[in-house]
Amino acid sequence: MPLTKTVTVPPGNPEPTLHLPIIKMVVVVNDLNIAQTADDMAQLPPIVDRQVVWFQNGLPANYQAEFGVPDLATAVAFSLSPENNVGDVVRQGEIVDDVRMEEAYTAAGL
Amino acid sequence: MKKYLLILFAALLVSAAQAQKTTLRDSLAKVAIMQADTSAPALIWAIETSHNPAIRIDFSKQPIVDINSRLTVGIDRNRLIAALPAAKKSNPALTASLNQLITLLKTEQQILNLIKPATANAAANRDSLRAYSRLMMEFYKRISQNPSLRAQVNALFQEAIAKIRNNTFDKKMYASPQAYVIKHLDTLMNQVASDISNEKDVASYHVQLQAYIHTKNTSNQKIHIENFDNYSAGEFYEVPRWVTSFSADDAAAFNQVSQLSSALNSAIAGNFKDIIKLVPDSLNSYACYTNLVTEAKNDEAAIAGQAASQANTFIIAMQAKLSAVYGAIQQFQKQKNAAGANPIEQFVQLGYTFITVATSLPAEVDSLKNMVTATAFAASADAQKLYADFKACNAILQADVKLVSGVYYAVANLLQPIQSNATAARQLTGSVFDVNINQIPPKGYIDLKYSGKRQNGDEIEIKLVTRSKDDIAKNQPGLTLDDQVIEMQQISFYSESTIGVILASPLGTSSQVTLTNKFQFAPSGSLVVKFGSRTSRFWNTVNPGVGFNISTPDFNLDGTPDVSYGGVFTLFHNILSAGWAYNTKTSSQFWFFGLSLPFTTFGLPVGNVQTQKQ
Repeated sequence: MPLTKTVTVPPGNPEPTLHLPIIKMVVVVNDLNIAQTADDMAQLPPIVDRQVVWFQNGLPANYQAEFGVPDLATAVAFSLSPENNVGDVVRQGEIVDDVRMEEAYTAAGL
Repeated sequence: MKKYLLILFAALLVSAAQAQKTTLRDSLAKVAIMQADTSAPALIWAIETSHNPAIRIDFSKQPIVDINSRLTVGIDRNRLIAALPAAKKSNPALTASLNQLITLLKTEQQILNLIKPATANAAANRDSLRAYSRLMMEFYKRISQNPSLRAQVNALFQEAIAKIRNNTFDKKMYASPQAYVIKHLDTLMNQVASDISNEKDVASYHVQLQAYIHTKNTSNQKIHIENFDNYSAGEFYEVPRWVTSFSADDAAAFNQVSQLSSALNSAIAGNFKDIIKLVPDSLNSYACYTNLVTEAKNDEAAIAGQAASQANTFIIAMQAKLSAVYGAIQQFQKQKNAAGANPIEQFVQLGYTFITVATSLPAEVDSLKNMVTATAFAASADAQKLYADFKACNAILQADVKLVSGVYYAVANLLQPIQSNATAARQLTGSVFDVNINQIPPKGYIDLKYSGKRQNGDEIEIKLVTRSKDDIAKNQPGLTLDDQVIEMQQISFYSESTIGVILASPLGTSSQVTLTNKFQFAPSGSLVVKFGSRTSRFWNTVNPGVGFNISTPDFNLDGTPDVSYGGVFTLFHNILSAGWAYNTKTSSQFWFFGLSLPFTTFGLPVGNVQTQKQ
């Protein structure tokens, strides 16, 4: 399925998406399935829009400092609130199904 | 010192930095955002539909509704089926599945109400996003605990996403994949419930939804629920919001408390020993019953030796009943001159007997008369006359019952709430429907304006009763599975009038004030403004009010009332009141207080009679 709500980096520019006052899912591993699940769960979201930024080569250093994701080495994706606070971190070893991805998106709305 | 402050400051910075690194989800895990579902969920639901927007009543929070509102009520059929005795259900797995779905979807309606199409700017919807997220986090937590449910939800999400991607998703019906999942789970829950309800033993269950109103005067007064019973319409009474003047009822009440204030002032002067005299001297039924009992005895003597007939039996039985009441009235007369006895104790004993016998007399006489055929009654002139004379005397007797009741409750129950028998509320005729569990009406309606006279703090009780096949066969009342109570209250600002007796005490000295006691009883009327809360029962119980007071003490003891005006502050539904006033006749000031225990009988010697409420 095409990733219709995802900015893939590279070659895409993550900046515009990351600065939108919406819920974002940042995928930090080179795993299409996870990016696909994130994109799926960004389709027709309730209340506030959702977008995905997929860093295929991992999270760049400048964003690491900006978002301060705890224990980034074990993270596969994390959600950002409209104010860019980390909502939830999906870790390696977790079952990343639709429910888990939804949970991560939802946590960013708190 | 500076060093320690710096260390403290540094420690705070470190902890703040660490706090920043935790995710919002971690914070949620630490702070219980929603309480776990440990309470037994209500099987009955209710919505205050006359409020705009309608308010769903939360039975877990001692709900309060507007006293003049309309309610839509119903039964949560799925929860009801889950709550039926396990022994009646043949498939425990189905029941377990139903319970699981009920728990999962307990906030379904709240979530669906919040879901709307997304916008690109969160700021405008931040609050609803936060509320939605809290509810959904609980929802996903419950799903994650159950692998089969999780698989089911994943499948539903995939179904929804596939439809979105191929443009077949019904956006009007679902708005988002989340709504799609929740609504499909709801359908599944209804299917499971239907499967259970079609089991033989469950399908034979019948259900009743009953509603009662409990007021200060009456308990368990039935009220009509449209679709669930065929009770006749109740008495229409709309509690007015703004009371700006005293009514005719207030004026009548004021006259009554004037007499009673005067009596109390005399009673105080005589150390209360006159109380036993005050009542018998005021019993107007004494003379009437003297003649009536004489007539009954003469009639009985006239038929002595005659063959037993319905009319003769009626006369003999009437004579006995009337004599019993007359005996009670006579006791007052006999005791009023008894020296040495405790007058209060005497009055309590005699008053109780009198009220009991006299209150039940009309129904007993009518019952006796109903045992006589119309033909037999028409053939006996004595029976007819005796009955007619009784009717005439009874009106006077019942007025005396009110008088004695008023004093009795004040004296006998001074410090305890009473179960008043003052006003028998209008009884509804008809019956409640006994509906099969598979034919429960989707909703019912209660219009509180048709539930008769009521006051702030009165309650509505809604009961769900189930009757099994055995209960129906043995004509047993069945099992009450849910019983919810809702308090009625005027919401926001309102005003009311109240009439009562105050104890007035002059301030300063005035040559025109010739009062010898420090306090004097005086009739008083107040118009007070209050505020009713929809959320706080405590506030509604304290029920503070402030307003205008008019009273008529007699500070110069000339036997005529001194009109006085002032301000008043009341608490606890006017039970406590205090204020300041100006006596226009003696040109002097006084302060006053009133202690009005919650007596409901009209015309109490001490206490407020609230005649207009809102």
